[in-house]
Amino acid sequence: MAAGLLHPVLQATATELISVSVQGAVTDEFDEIVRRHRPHVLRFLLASTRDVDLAETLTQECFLKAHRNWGGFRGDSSVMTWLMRIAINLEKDHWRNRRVQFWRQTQTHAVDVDEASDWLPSGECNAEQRLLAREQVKAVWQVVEGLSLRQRSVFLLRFVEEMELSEIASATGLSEGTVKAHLSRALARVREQMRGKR
Amino acid sequence: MRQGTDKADDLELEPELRDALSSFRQSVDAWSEAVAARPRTVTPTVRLLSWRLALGTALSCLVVAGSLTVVVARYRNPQTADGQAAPHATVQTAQAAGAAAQTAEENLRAEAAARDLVAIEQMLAGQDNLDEQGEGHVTNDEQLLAAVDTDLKRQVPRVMEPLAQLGQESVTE
Repeated sequence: MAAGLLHPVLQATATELISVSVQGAVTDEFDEIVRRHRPHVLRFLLASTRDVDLAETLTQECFLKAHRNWGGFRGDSSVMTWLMRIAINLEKDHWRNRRVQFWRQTQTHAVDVDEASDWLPSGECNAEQRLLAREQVKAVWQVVEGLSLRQRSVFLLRFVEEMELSEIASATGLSEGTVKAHLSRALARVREQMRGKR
Repeated sequence: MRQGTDKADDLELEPELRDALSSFRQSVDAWSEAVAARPRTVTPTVRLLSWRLALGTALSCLVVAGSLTVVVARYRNPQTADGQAAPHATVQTAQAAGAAAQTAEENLRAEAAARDLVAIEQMLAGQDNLDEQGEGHVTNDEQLLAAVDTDLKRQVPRVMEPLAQLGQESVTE
């Protein structure tokens, strides 16, 4: 009723103001999401690719894509699960790309397992603990390196991002049973690797 | 999301494996934090790109300006253009001189051939005259021989007179 009494110019101005305020609210909301989830997405992609530049690029693309599709996010899953699904698909597309496939064979910026194992938890104080931790980390990295992309994603989402099986299933598009099978196989390989280290 | 990996959805983890996975997670976390905190190198790249762009633009402008200058200079000062075209003129002059020399040589040859023809004709004409004067020529010879004989007669030394007389006598006999 009241809107119908307003002058058309005032009506248009009011609509624009509402639109701007909604857009501002959406931007603020998405900024908060980026602040909260960017470290997780970057960590997952860094562990999956072992390539710092590639991980940062894919993280950027992930949030760009999420921003574009933010209006279509219905909240069926958590934001983190949704973002991880985008990140996994981006990584899959990246390796599927033929041009990149060539560079994958010839030139890669991924650090090797030894270098990745140099990053140790800060809690280990004495040299023996640090050495033991380094050996453990290296063994896990060697197993992760040998996993397929799907198995690696499942493993990292579970043991680095600490997601539930249902969340991993939602993020990867697999059933929970398949996720569990992948995890069992990966853990068996870690055990085998650690036995071999002894 | 659940905190810790000890309750791993029916996945039983022995302590050693749990420690290894925990160390791995903390290691990845430390690496990721270091990557997120590292200084970005976007600005130097942009500067480098801008420098390359500026250098390329400057070189392109120089090339275009040089080309335009040459074109304008040729258009405004045709003499310079002629001067620049001097080598071509020299070549053309040399070619013309060569052609003229060749023509003169051919003319000389033609003149020489004409002269030869005239000489041959004159020779043939002379031969005809000689043939026509053949009989007169013979008489001239006899007169000449007679003159020679008389001269010989006069020049015969006195010592040879007896022999000459004998000869005359034998002739008369």
